[in-house]
Parts: sequence; structure tokens; C-alpha cells
Amino acid sequence: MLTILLFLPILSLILVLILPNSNNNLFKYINLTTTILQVLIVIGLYFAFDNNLAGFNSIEGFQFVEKVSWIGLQLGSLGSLQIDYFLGVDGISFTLVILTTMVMLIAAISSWNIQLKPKSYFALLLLLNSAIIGVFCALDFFLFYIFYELMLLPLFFLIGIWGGSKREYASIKFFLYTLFGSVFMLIVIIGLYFSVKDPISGAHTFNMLHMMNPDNYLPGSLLSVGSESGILFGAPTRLIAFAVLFLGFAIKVPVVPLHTWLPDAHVEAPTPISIILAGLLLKVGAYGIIRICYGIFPDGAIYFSYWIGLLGVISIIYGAFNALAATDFKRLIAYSSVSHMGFVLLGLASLTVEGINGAIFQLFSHGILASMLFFIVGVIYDRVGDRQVANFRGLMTQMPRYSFFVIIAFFASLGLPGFSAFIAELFVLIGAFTSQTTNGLVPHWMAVAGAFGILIGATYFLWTLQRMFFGQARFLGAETWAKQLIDLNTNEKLVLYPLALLTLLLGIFPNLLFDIGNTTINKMVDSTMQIGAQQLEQLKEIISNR
Amino acid sequence: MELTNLHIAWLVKGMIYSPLISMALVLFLKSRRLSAAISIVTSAISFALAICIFSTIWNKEIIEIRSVWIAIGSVSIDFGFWLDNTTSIMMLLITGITFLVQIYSVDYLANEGQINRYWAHISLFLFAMLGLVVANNLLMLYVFWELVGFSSYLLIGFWYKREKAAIANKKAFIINRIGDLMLLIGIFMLFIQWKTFDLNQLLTFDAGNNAWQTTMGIFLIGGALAKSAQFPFHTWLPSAMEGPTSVSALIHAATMVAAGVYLLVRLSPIFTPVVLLILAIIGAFTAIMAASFALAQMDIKRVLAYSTISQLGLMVMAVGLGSSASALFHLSTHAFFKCLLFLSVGAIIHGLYSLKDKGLDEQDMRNMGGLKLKIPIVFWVYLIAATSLIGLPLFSGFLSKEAILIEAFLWAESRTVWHFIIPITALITTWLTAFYIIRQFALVFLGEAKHPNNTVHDASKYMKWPMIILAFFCFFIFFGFNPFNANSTWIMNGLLTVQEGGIWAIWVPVASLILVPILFIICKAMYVNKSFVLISVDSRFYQFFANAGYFDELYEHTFAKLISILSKISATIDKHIIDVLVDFTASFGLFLAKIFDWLDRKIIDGTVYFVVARVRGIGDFARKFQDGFVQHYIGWAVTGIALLYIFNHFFGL
Repeated sequence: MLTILLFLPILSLILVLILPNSNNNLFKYINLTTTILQVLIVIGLYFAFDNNLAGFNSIEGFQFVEKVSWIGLQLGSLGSLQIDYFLGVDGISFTLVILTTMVMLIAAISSWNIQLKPKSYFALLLLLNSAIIGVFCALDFFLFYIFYELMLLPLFFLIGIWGGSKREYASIKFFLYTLFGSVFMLIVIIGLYFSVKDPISGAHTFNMLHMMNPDNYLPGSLLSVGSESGILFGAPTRLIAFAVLFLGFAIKVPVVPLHTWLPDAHVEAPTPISIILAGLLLKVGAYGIIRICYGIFPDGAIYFSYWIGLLGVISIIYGAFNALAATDFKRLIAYSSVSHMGFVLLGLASLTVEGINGAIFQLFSHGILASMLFFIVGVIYDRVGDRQVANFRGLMTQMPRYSFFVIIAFFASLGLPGFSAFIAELFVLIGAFTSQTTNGLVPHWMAVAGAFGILIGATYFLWTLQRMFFGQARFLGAETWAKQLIDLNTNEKLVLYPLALLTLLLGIFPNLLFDIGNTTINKMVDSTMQIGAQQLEQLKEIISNR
Repeated sequence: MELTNLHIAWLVKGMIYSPLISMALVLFLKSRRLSAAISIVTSAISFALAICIFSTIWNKEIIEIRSVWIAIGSVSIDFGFWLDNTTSIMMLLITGITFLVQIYSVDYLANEGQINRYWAHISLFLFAMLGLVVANNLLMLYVFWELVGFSSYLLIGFWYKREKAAIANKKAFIINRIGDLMLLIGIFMLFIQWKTFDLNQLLTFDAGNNAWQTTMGIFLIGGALAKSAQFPFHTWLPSAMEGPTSVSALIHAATMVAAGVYLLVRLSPIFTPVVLLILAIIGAFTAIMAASFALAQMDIKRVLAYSTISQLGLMVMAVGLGSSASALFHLSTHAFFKCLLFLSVGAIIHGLYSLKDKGLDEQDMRNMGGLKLKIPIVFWVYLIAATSLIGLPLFSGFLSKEAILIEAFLWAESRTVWHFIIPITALITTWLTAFYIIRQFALVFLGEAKHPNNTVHDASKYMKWPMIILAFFCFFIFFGFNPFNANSTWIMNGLLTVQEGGIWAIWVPVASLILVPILFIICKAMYVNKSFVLISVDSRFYQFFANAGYFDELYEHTFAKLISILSKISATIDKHIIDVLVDFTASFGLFLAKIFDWLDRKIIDGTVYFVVARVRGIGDFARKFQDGFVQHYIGWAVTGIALLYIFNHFFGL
């Protein structure tokens, strides 16, 4: 089933490429149909998914697994190169697959008015769709890397061609930033490949699950625990590898100070791409940290937890302050994303069941809310081609229905109970707060600082409401704008209603989402704490023996 | 019929969900009358159910109905109900007063367009407030606590086109959010300490007296102080008067602001002595501070806003003194008379709308006067409510205010002389209270009308009856048969144990009331006959109080400024440090690329070119020999042979 989910967009892509350019209107229907079919498949999978199986690092817990040998090369003395087409989901990745299909559907609807080169646009969108699904489903590290890199290509062009005035600067910045991360990842992948062997065939492998099991490491290899060879520049190679991988993913999340590509990319990107960027791309970064950094290097997860938590807290507060200073509505929302993604990091750093559940919940919740917020910005930008906060006033009088959704989205994002973000942030904070007394990884003050970030969050959202929506209606473009600023059309309502209902639904019945991931997350916390602590102990021993 | 817990659970659910359903319906309705009807009927249903629940559980065993909402890791959050006497009093107050205020609103907001959202928001408020008081654990309480703040935000901003309202609701929400987050942190600390959020567990824990628990207590009370507009969070409440007066009456006088006191009462068993003392001090200080600010206000609603802050201060102080029962009792009586004061003020403002057309402020008391005979019903209900606030015998305010004062003196008596500062502060507050409310009464109702006009009218049908019903509840008889003894009232009996007042039971009422007739004469002379002026309006002293101690300005220039500076700093860091670094890295890359490019072109390509050029040079040289003339070839051939011969000859090859 995952293969169908993955290759459906590719099939549509071929269809789009075959069809002549004259059928301009057809492409968006093809894209829409594809995303709807994907949502239907995922709904089917949702009912087939067994919540009680704990995946994370054991193949038994993964569901809908497909494994086919893909590339097999005999490399003489180096053994055989084995890359598998290996897909499967557990509670964590399935949550994100669900999110992907939903956000893609939203992006499909909001791409309705794309006029410029629709054929290439939708072709790239479909390619992106496939790549993101692939990232979340891949269990072979090499396959993961291919999908991960494949995401970059369409995004680069989607921003660079369909973007705003400074689109080239933004897309190149985005590309360089993320490429920087990928290069390091490739080095670690190769290092891992030569350190890990398949327990059955004995050959080197890219299988992520094998990499998570310390027994599969060749004794004396670069990334194995407990040997002298695992030391590089006086530090354990494993910890260096963790840090390097983390850096690569942190750029995607993004984590302050590696975040400045995000506001630029968002401001320049067209609305649907902003939605995908915030709704999914950032989640890929976080997913990488969870699956790869935490999964393969649990020792690093424990060792660096304080710094990860610190980066999370800095992102929360720094992002919030920057949002407060933003004068462009879209930039404000972009910085709020930085702030909200900080909670994911804080939750992960706590390494408690509550904190990580909260982090995963935040990924989903932010996926919905960021889509909603960027769509909201798109609504006024579509109408008047401007989104400076200062140029609008009293939109509530002008567009009451629109303002209704704005209030929902804003209050949901600032953590009002009843909406999904509250649950996520609550559990992240509980996790962060209990961490000091249960596992001693994240100190109390970080949780308090995170709560302070929520306060600043309330400030910028409410200030925006006050400035743009309340008061007497008054616009920079005066009468012209007043005519253009008509209330929501059916298409827009079609996007906003489901999103608003979804965030409300998850805020009231969080178990709908918690149930999917909880078993896996329990396993993740247990094994990370157990294996990680053990490995860290060994590493310390080796270092002290030197 | 004996009701089981299951039945009661259904009653409670019906009570809290019926306003929620109303909200959902009203949001999508167009009809004014239908939305009003739905909202009012659902409140009536809630009220009826509250009475049912009250009669079932009053003075019975505490009922707890549990059901798990979220269970993750070691955290289990209930969505359950905790029903004891405190809850049932709150339920009755909230539903009853909401119902009355809603009826009042029908006429009060009759001229407003887009009234549906008003009904939706009031219903949301009722839902949230009821959820707050029935919650059986602190996190559920927190959920509703924030929702209450949200509905308050929406209602303060009801007239969102007014700039002031848009600023006021933001201010209210943010100040409350500071408190909310303190409360949340307090709840987390409590969870770490005792591994539970449940109220039933809290009662079993020892208050202890360590730093952790004191810190926890300070965080917990932060939430309550913000919601109840206590110092230093009090500034949002006067601004919140930008909302419709019916909202001020319901939310910012009778119910929501009392939620802070309710929370304190709930948590008081786990407060350490230090925390309790802090509460007492903050309460007493807020009480006297706000009462003195009220003295100098000219806006008719702001006087009442400061009065509310002051009265809430007395309740907070009572909790700090360990007398939750008297705090709750005062909360109940205050809810009625303060709500009634606001409603009658609303009726006055409603009648004076023509002042607005003349460019005058219809809320400024200097534009009023002489309204006594024009609006007799409003006059009488106002008088009853004001008398109850002053606390004259036979009125409910007398019972509850004296209860608090007596408790305060008893508390101080068992401690040092210094502790008497608190009861004396409270006593002075009651004098100030009498002063400002008599002042308002004199300015509004007595004397000559400043702007005689015809629009002033007495309360209409829908406004009249709710006020008359509320007026009834300002008398002692509703609470107990003995007009002089608070301990004989059913509320006090239903709550915790009460102590006898002893000597204070006589002296405190005498001391607090002895000044009232004198104050009345002074006020009449000052404000009606204008025979003398105590302090000039222009004096700095007066202006200090008129501007409420300049707290708004202080906060504006410190916290608000700080936040704004910090945000500018982070924006600068982003733009001028991080991005500069990124751009530098990029340009460094470009620079490297250029070097390589240069190397490529000059060195590598240069070498290639050089080689190419040499080869070509040799080629050119060689080509010269082959110019296509046979005689040249022969010439070259002969030369070559000649050279070969010479070489051979001389070098002997």
C-alpha cells in the first residue's frame, strides 16, 4: 500500500508530462485527484493500522512493510553493496504520513489559481509529494537520503520560478543551507555503512533498523561502541556523527541560529509552497532527528540533550521576539513557525514519554495550523498583492467570515485550550518539567522559559489582531482595496473549514492522535534511555582509559 | 427519588453542555430574536439543572465523577466533576446571574447590529465558567480558566471598531496570560511534588513549609491574582470597561473575576504560611489601593471597576487569613449587589445616549446629576445595591463584610501587634468604600441635572425585572434569618467551620459603620451643594488617584518597552548578524569560486594555452616550409642535403 501511496504521484506526474501544454486546466484536476486518492488510501490505512505495535527500532513493530532488493553490486574485496527498497511505518512515521496527505490536499486546492506554466508547476508538485511520502516511509538509509535530496529539487524551482520579487535570492539561500546539511549526512551514511553488517547475510547494509541495534556494529569499526577505533580527534566518533547529523536536520527544522533561510523562503514562496514548506518540510527535519539521530545514536541523544533543549528554548523565545518585530504578515507567521518548532526540540530533549508525545503532537498540530496561517496570509495577498501589517486596518468589518477563521487560527496557535497546539505544548512542557526529576536531562528553567515563549506568542498574535482586524476599516489602497477585499469564496472556505475543525477535534479528542504514536514512543523512550545510557557509559570508559 | 452518581453526572453534563450547544447554534444563525432566545433558554436550562444539582448535593457527601481524558506516560488527565458545597454555590451564582443579565441584554443591546456573536460569546462564557467550577482536577480547571479568559477577550472587544476596545481586550488577555502561565507552572510544580492533578488528592496533603512549596504557592496564586485583578495585575479590569455594561456586570464584576478567589479557596489547603501571608498582604493592599483610586474617578463605570478590585481584595485577604468561608460568602453577596450596581449604571448610560450626539461622554458623572426622579426604578435598585456594598445592617453586604473583618481581627489578635495592620487596612477600606459609592450616588442622582434632556428613561421591561430580582438578593433574608450574624447564614454553615467573633462581633460593625452618616453629609455638601472642596482636582495628589497611581504608564514604560526592545534586538541579530554571516559564507564561497576560476583560466588553462601556443608555433614554423612552390621545396631540399653534407664532413658522423 505504501508503494501505491508513493508512486501514485509519480504516475500522475508521467500523465502530466505526456499531456500537451494546451490542457492547462487539466493539470490541477490531476493533482487534486491524486491527493484525494492519497487521503482515501491513508484513511484506509488508518483503520488497518494497529496502534498496539511498537515500532521505532524493531521490524516487528513496523506495518505495511515492503522490502525488495533494489541495487546489489559485487564490489570485490569490499563485499557487496546492498541497497533495499525498504518501506514501512510505525506510530511516529504514520502520524506524519497522515499529515503529508492532508497538507498536500490543502496545497492542491490552494494551487487552484496558478496561471504561470501550470504544467511544470504541477509536475514539480507531484514529484515533491512523492519525495515527502518517501522520506517518511523509507527504512533504508540510502533510500531515505535519495528521497531527502529529491525533495530539494522541486522546492528549489517552485520557489525560484513561482515566487515573489526576491525569489532567486531566497531559493538559492534555501538550497545552499539545506545542501550544507546533506553533505555531512552523506559522510555519516557512508561511515555507518562500513560499520554495520546485516546480522543474517553478514554484508554491509543501509538498513536503518540494523543500524539501531548495537549488536550489528562490526567490532573495531569507526562507529561502533567500545573500541579504540571509534575515536576521532579525541572525541567518540558516534557523538560527532550525532552532532553532524543533527546539524543537517536542525537546518530543516529550523533551529536558531540556522533558521534564516526560512523567513526568506516563506516570504518569497507562493502560498501553496509556503504551506508545504511549513506544514511538511519542517517536519522532515524533526522526523530525521527522531528516526535517525535518536534512533541510531541514542548515546548522542542523551549526551546532547541539554544542548538540544537549550536550542529549543532559544528557538521558542527568539522566534517569538522576531515575530513580534516583523512588519510583513507572512514573515510574522514564518517566525512563529520557528518558535513553535522550538517546542518539538524541547520535547525531544526531555526524553520523557510525555515530552516526545507532545513533540509529535506538535508536529501534526503545527502542520495543520501553519497551513492554515499561511493560507490566511495568501487570502489577502491574492486580493491586493500586499501583506504589510501596517497597510490594513479593520479587516473584521470588511471580511467577517475571514476574520472568524483568523481568530480561530491565531488563538489555536497561541495555545488556547480546546485546540491542538495547547495539547502539544502542554505535554512538551510537562515532559520538560518532569525531566529534571525523572531522568535529569533538561532543567526546570527551560520549561519555564518555554512557557514564557507562549506568552510572547500571545502578544504578537493579539497585536496583529488589534492592528489589522479591529478598529475602523482603513486600507492603504483605500477604495480600490476595499473593492478587492471581498470575503472568502467557496474554495477558500473548503480549505479553512476542515483545518479549523481538525485543530478543534484534536484539541478536544487528542487521543485520536496520541493513540497512533504512543506505543511506539514508549518504546522509543525506553530503548533510547536504556541503550543510550549503556553506550554512553562505555564511551566514557574508553575516553577515560586513553 | 434518590439520584445516583450516574444521574448526577448527566445533570452536570447537561448543565455545562447546553450553553455550548447554544454557542454552536447561534454562531450559524442569522436571526436576532432566535439567537437571543436560544441563548437565554439554554442558560435557563443550565440554571434549572444547577438548582437540581444543588438540592441534591448541598450538605451531602462530596461527589466525584471521574473519567480519563488523556493518559500519556505517567500523566493522566481527567475530565471529571468534583461536586461539593463550594461548587454548588458557584454553579447557582453563575447560572442564575448569567440568566438575569442575558434577559437584561435583550433591551440593553436592542439597537446593536450583529448581535449574534454577543449571544454566542456569552454562551461560551457560561460553558467555560461552569466547566471551571465543576472540574475535578487542576489541568481541566486550567483549560476552562483560559477559555473564560478567551470569552472575556471576545466580549470586551464586542465593539471592536473602537480603538480603545481593541487595545483593552488585548491588554486583558495578555495580563491574564501572564497569570495563566504562572498558574500552569505552579500546577507542574505541584505535579512533580505529588504526581497528581486531582483536587481530591490535594486535600490530603500536608501544607508543609519548604521553599519548593512556597515557590509553588507563589506561582499558583499568580494565576488567581491576575484573574481577580489584584495588585500588580489589576490594570486590565478598568480598561475592560470598554465592553458593554452587561458584560462588565456579568464577567467583570460577578463571576469571572471571582474565579480567582474560587481557585484560591480550592488551593488554600496546600498553601504554606508564607504564601497565605503574601495573599493577605496583597489582598489588603489591593483593597485599600483600589478603593482610593475609586474616590477620584469620574467615569461612572470605572468607579465600579475599582470598587470590584477593592472588594475582591478583601476576599483574597480573607483566604490569606485562612477564612475561605467568609471569602466565598462575600463572593456570593458581592456578585449580586455589584452586578446590580453595574446593571443600573448600564440603564443610566443607556438612557443618556443622547449626550453622545452632543459630543459629551455619557459615562462621565460630571454630565449627570438629578436623575433621582426621572428614573425611579433604577434609583431604588441602585440605592439598595449601594447600601449593600456599604454594608448597612439588614443588607447582605453587612453580613459578609463584617464576617471578613471579624475574621481579620481575630487573626491579628492571635499574632503580633504588627499583624493588626491588615485588619485596620480592611477597616479603612470599608470607610473609603462608603465614601466613593456615596459620592457616585450624589453625583448621579442628587442635585440638579447638568444636561436636561428627554432621552433619559426608566428601565424598560427586560431591563427592569432582572434588576428587581437582583435587588431582592441584596437583603439579608435570602442568606439567613439573623440579620446581624453571618455565622447563622446557610452559606457559612455549609462551608467550613466558623469561629465565633467574640468582642469583635460588636466593635467591628460599630467601627465600620459609624462614619457612614458623616460621610453622607460630607459628600452631599461636596458634590451636591458644592459648598466646599476637600482637595483641588488639579492637585498632584488628586491626579495621582485619578490616574490610578500611574500603573498603566509605569507598565507601558517598563515591560511593554522591554518586550519591544527585545523584539527589535532579535530582529537586528537576524538581519545584521546571522544573515550577514550567511551572506558572508556565501560570498566567501563565491570568492573561492572566483579564485578557482582564475586559477582555471590563468594557470591551468594558461598552461594548456601555452602548450597549444608552442605547438602551434612549431607548426607555423614547419608550415613555412610547405608553401606549395616546387622550386622552394627543391631549394630547401638542396639546403638540407648541403647541411647534412657539412655536418657529416666536420663532425664525422
